[in-house]
Amino acid sequence: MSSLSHAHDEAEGLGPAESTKAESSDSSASAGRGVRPDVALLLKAQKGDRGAYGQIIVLYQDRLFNAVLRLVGDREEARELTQEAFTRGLMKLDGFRGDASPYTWLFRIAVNLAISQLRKVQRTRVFSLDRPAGARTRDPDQAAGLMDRMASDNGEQPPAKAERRERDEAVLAALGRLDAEYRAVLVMRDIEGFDYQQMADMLSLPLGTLKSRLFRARLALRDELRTYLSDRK
Amino acid sequence: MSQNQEIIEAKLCAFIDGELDAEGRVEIEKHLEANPQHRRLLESLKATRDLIKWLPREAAPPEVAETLNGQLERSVLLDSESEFLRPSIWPRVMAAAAIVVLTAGLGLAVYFTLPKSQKNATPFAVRSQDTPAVEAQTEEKTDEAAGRREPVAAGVSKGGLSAMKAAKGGGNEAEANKSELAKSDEELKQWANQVGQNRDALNAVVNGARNTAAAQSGPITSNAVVMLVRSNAPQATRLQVTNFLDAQKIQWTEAAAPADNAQVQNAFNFAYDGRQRRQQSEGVSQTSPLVQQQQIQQQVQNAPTTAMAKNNGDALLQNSTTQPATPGVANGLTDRLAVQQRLYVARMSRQQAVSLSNSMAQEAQSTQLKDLSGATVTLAELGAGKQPVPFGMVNTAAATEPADVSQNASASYRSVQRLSGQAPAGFGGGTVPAQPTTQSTDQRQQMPAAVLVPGTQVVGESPASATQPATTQLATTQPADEAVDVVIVVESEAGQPAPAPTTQPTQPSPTTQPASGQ
Repeated sequence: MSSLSHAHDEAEGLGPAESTKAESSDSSASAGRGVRPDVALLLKAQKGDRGAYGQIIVLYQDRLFNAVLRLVGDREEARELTQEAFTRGLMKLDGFRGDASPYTWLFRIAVNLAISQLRKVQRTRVFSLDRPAGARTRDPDQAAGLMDRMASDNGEQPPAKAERRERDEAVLAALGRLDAEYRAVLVMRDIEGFDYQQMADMLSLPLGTLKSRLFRARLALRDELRTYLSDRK
Repeated sequence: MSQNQEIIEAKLCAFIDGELDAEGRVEIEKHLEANPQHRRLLESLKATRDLIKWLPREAAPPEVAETLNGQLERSVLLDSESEFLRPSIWPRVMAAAAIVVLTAGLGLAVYFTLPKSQKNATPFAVRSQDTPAVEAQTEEKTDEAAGRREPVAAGVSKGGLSAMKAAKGGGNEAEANKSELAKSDEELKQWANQVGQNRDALNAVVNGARNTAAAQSGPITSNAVVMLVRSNAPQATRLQVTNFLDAQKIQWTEAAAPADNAQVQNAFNFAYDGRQRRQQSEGVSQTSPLVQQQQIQQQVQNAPTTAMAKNNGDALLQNSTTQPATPGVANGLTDRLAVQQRLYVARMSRQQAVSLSNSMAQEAQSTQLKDLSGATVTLAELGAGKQPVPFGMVNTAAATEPADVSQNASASYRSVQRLSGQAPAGFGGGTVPAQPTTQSTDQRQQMPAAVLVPGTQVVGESPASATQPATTQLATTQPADEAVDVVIVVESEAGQPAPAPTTQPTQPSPTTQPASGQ
């Protein structure tokens, strides 16, 4: 698993080892080492502890929102879809059987909502790094836009920041031009760090088909970024 | 996409991610060594993957948590309400069931315990203690409760206005009695014609011969009252009757007279016929017709009202020594009375029938009003499969209770003696007005018989005295507003000259009162 994924797991209070186990949906293996905190919370929520589900929301809202945002490209739309995913999760608490991590279970709900939304609204999506004007910042370190975060990076010079911004803008723009299915597998694999089997399960695809789709998605993204990459060369 | 191409792409994807097994990795490395352009492609794909991974992470806006927490709080509150605050459904179900049961029970109790239209019943009525009569009334009430769906007596032909109504399918029990009283002119006239043309059936029914074909085919219903007003002043009596009907706005009409109206049979003398036959069979010495005539003439001289009083079947049954002095008997034409009858049919409430009876009886016994002096008023109510029940009073001193009344009295006729103003058990006591001045003191002191029907009561009674006539009122414990078909028979001796009435009577023409006047 990438270091980025590990960083998220640490932010969620889960150790890298625990996160690895969770992402591999090996609940039986984790059972031998004790119940994961997020699984325990969801089990409590299943028994009617709404406070536990509130803790699940706090724990996963940023990660889920970021994934949905990369899928749909619009912050407001991502916010609504994130809320809808949590709400549906609350209504479907009894459907959680513990064979996947709570986040995987929630992400599956969210990605299905997002894909449905993308199929429903066929339009060219302009992905942007900029934070919407007037948006409140609950946590400047996490909620700040790319420029703010770059400015807060220690030791990074402005030219390097500009270069990163230019690169991220190009990637997001290229991502926004991809089909929803390609976008989904790229986000799931390269942003969220799910393994092939989890992705295949969530998308209900054969494993080989999933890998082939992921390869083609990367090819498509590379083609979209060809101009940017050629310029950098 | 071919299966082979998909497999190759899957292997290349796994190679880029470093998840290809060693064998596959060696295979691809060999290929890349031979095809450097493919190596550059894979390197660019790895670079693209890293570009995505390096994308910054966006935090969720605070609205997400706030909105969701609000939803959770509402959910918690709703759940708390449902678990702790919301009353359980069972108490509500039980309360609703209890209300339904109580309502149904109360309704049934009211339906079965309260008599029909009790509020309109005579408030001073009392329950009769006569067991058979009570049974008869119970049967009647049971039939009423059953909606009068069937005749009360098997032997009584179903006829009259009630039968007409049922035949027309108009027997809506929901109709008020008032509406039931309002009959169409056509129905009333039709029934009047049937009654008028079937007087034998009328006589048979009234005299208990209801199992005969004549009775069963007749128009007299089981729910009928036959009122016999026997008078030596028929015109005045008829005027009295019609005036009462008009005053009460009772729908009435006169039955068409049969061709042999002059010689119709007395409606109430069947019992007399039977007694005569029985006396003959027992060898009782028969008085010669001449002696009979002399005796009767003597009695008539002593008490002008007596002769007509004896015409009543009850009196005839009780006292064979006072044979009626009728031209028919005297002339040997027939052993029955030759009478003239005028029939009026009306539809009225039971209370009105009682009032009519009282009115006629009081008029008859009044010393001031001579129109009906000497008249007898008898009501015979049919029903409950019993013998016809006399319903009214007899205004005759000669109808005093004979010694053999207990042996000879018909089951349907009850003659009671008033003892110290106390009515015998089971019947309402009755007083008969002071006897005419022409009667002897002994005769006046005799307590005359009053014929009452079970279920009736004498009210407003004052102590009888020789100088002050007692006032007798009849009441009924039957539903006062129950509609009954009433046949009013104004009977007089055939050929009897009509005395000049005090008020000029007008021959009541067959007419009906408008239904709206009910």
